[in-house]
Amino acid sequence: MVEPTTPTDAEVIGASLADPTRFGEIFTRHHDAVYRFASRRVGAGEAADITAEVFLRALKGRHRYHLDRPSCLPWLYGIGVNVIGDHLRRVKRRSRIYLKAQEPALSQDDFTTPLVDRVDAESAAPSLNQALGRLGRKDRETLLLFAIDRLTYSEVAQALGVPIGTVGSRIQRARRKIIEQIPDLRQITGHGGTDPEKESRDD
Amino acid sequence: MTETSLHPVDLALRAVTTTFEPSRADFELSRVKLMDAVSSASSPSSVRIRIAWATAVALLVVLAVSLIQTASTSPAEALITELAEVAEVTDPLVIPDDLFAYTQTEATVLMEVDPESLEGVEIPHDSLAYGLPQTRETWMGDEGTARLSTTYFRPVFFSSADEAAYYAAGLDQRDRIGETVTETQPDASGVLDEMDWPTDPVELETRIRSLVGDTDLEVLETSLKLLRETLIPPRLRTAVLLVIAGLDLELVDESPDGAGTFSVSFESPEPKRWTFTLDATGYLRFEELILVDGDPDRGVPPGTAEYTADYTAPRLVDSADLP
Repeated sequence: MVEPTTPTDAEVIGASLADPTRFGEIFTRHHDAVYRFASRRVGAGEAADITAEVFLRALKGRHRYHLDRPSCLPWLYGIGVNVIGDHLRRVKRRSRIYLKAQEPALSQDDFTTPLVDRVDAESAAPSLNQALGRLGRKDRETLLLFAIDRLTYSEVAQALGVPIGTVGSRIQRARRKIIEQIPDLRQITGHGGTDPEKESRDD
Repeated sequence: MTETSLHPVDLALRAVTTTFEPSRADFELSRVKLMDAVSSASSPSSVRIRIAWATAVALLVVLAVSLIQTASTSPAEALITELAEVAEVTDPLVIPDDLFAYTQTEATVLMEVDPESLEGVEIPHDSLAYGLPQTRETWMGDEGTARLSTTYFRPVFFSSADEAAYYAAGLDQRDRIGETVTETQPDASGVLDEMDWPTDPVELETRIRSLVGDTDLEVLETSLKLLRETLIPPRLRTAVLLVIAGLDLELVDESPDGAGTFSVSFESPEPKRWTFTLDATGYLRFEELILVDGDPDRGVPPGTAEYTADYTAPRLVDSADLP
């Protein structure tokens, strides 16, 4: 007996063009990831509304989804970047990351980042966030999608609708500008960093 | 890639960022909103399709689709689609051997200079930004050879500090302010020659999205690049106009001078607003790309134009007019 296979995101979205109720499967699969994505930028207080808006826009624009891309998470993150951008403009705030110091919370990263790095880096958090705020919006979003949302270069390219080479150049430029503003960051994190030329583009 | 091989910036960002987990209430709140929208998207007509007699329903659907398409066509889309039909039957521009197609462009371009290029001169922003007004005259021959003559004018600054830094760093010499620079390009066909652009609008849009970028802003940017080309063939101009018509455009000004021109604007999530004017034969006459929020990093105030340009229609001139 052949086991039924789970349809890909692309297959579900394709089916939802004729039957919009199928889009609920996309919501169930990715709600939590999109919520976490939003919470890293706006905190828990606003993440739920942002998440709801992401899925509403995704439903409305699903006919434009590239059905040759099996996973739709980068697409949802790309919509999320725009939703958060609109939200921050309305409340006249600049895009940053939501710092641990802003609110006590359980963090996924608490369990994956070495403790010594975390403690030292947290001391640099305010200046790091300030440096992020000084980056151009495109460079900042590209870096954050790669660094904190952990997308690959090609997924970031899908999310933002830019060529993969643009992703690489934006990330390198953003890192360079941050290091220029926080020269001690290499010492704080205890790493000399990777050679950009040797860094694998897709992990 | 392992954690320890990460770039220190990435590592620091991961270390200081907070991630929250959604509650059941968060999930339900979003789910209810989405299901409401799903209900609206499931139109009654699609339900009828499944249950009614095939022939009768097919007729109803055809009628419904016609009505929806008529009702949902924006004024901008309708005008550009109409224009595309005119452009297709407009005679292509043919340049005889001994003549040139002459165009003039008056533009202002937002320039940016990195601090490293300022030779130690202090600026109050991350980089120095200013508008550089210029007039460009182009004489294009029948095989794409062009003579370009560009005159640069005094820049537009956003603060007196920016202006002082600009002159202190000698950038007016670099920008050749007040000079007219003439050059000859053996092949000025630009984006037209980059590839064999399809003349079917659906294929054209697919090609642009796959090769250049998938955002509507990138589609519009490439489409306008093609429209700027003096020697664009009528069928390609028609396809480009139909691609543009499919974007989410707003009609802002229609035939103010009675010459058949109209202006439309496009709001990008960037946020940028692109406004452009087309004449009665589908030629680009004006365009302006506005940075809605400006760019505080560069001291650029909200509403500043990143690029603005007025174009004249091409006219044939004698070689004696060459500079």
